[in-house]
Amino acid sequence: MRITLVRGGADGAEVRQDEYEIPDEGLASISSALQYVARNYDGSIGYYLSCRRGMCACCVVRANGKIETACVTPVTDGMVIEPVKATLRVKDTVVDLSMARENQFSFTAEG
Amino acid sequence: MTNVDVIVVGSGAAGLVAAEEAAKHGLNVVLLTKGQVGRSGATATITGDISVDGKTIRNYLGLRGNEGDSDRDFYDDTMTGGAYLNQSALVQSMISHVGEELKPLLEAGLKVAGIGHAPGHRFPRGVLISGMQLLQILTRRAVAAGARFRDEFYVTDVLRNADGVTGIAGIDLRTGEAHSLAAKTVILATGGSAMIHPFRTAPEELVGDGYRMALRAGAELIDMEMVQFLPCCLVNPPLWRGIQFPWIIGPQSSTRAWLLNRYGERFMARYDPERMEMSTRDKISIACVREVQEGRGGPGGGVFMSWAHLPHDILEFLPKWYGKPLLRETWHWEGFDFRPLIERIKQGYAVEVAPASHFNMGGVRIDAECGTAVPGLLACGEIAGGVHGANRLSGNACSQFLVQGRIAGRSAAQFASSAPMPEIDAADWKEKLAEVEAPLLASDGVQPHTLASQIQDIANRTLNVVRNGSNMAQGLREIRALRAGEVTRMFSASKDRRYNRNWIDAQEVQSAALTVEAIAMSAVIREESRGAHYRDDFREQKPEFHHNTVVSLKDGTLQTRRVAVAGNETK
Repeated sequence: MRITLVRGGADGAEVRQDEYEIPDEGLASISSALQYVARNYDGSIGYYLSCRRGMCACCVVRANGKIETACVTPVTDGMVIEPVKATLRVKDTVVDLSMARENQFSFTAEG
Repeated sequence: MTNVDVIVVGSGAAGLVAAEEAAKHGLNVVLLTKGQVGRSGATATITGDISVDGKTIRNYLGLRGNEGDSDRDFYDDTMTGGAYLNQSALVQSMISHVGEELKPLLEAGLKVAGIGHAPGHRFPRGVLISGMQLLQILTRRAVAAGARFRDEFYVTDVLRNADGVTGIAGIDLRTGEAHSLAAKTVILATGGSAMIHPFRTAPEELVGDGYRMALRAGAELIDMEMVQFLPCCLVNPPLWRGIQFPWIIGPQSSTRAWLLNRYGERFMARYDPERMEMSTRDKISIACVREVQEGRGGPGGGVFMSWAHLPHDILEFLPKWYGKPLLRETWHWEGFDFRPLIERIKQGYAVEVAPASHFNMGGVRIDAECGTAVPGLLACGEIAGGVHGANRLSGNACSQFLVQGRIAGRSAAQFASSAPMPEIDAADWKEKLAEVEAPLLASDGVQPHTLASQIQDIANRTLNVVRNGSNMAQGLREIRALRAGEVTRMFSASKDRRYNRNWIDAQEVQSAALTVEAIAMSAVIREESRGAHYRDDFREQKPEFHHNTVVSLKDGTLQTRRVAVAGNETK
């Protein structure tokens, strides 16, 4: 199957769409697909994966326009995957979802 | 150069409680996590229990506890479950303080879904909660106490000088810049290393970072051979792989599901005829793997779990009994929709299950104040070893992180209020920086993720539920060859520093490789079976092995030694 990844965006980097071919291994998650692409095509792809059970929501993406938790949502042929919200984008589909955003420590501001 | 009083590494429950406590003492506290605050770490994966003795549940927390229970009974069950390798002082501290940690959380709105009765506990002691809600409350409290945070900062090393801790080094994953930060104390709360196994329940980030940092800083590890596998996790499809839902709607909720081999035999009769499927996690895991090894398993490398002998009503009522909102009547559990699976079960189909790597009983060797052998270095939560001995009972991980987080925060505050601010040794920082950046600067070499898979393969073949001497010796040879060879030649194909997965993988491989070697070395010298450590070449528990295994790193080489179990009666 094929998926489309909306990439870029870190520090104003150009946003583009890349298409990748991934194997069909039965019911598998969007996260597995992102990991497959990062490992087999392009190691620079930023994606987030933590609990793999839909709890932490760190991996949240927009898939075919819908907000989905990537680790528990099956990937489907032709799926377009993009960051959940462009303004929160760190890189590619990685977004800042910290629950302590107000109390951030900065290495550069202080040292 | 900036400095702080206390650095906490890791944002699971243990780290958040430690940060809150240290900040409450008026100290300058920074919590660093390679994940995201309030979301990362194994705490987020809990839809489970905090163990408290029944009398405290009833009389102190005001919930439905069994008054016949006592802290002494809870202690005895924990020690029995741990095959008496537990550090007695750590167990006592956990049992006597968990109630006072839980009460303010309940007052802050933590919802209790019920009181569970899990195998190994003689009384219902499992206060059922949601880990994500717990994280929200703990984050709020730590923020209110004045702690500061930095998400997506991967601490790779503890820095030190001849006197003790001087700070940390790590990578800001968002910018890709390496930084050091001086501190009087560092609290490690980075969790375990379930990710060294290909089939596991824990989150991706648990690769053993803290074990590597602690060893390299000069601290010791204890009981590393004791790795808990959670039985009855789903084998297929890939989307559900490693998820313990069958365990939840089986033994964990006291529902009498049957474990069957390919001949339909209820094989637990051969391993624990009295408790059968209600046996402890270690015994069920061993039984399941032995059935497979002896040729009686299913097509996916597991065994079968069946509810077909039960009337459908019992399953239908389960969400009501086991506790909303953790198990919902729509059969949504955690992030999954398990309606298709429940429908299949009701049609009489069995589900193929296998044990998944779940928890490290072993870890950084701490004293009752969460201190290590290194002045200024503390550890709490799953990364800290010794409290669970050879096997952990359900719910005791949560009791551990709440109590130890508090103790570590308090100890750090005490240490930091009298210690002078150390200065980072320039040579130490330069050396660590060069190591951290090497994969990024190398122009060719080995892809880190291929090594991650190789390490998982070694652990899966040689350090699984059923072990034996020749297998482990082979595993040890392989991991040492890997560490001396490919691990030194890792490179990041992508040179983009920002959120670079190749580069992150390279750091994680270092942690996983050293952890696997520490586990293998500890396991190979324990020539008996005890708790989670089961060997088919030494199937019995032996009194002469009633000791703890300690690992240290001397001149770049791991060493093991045996030490007497502190403060508990010989069994």
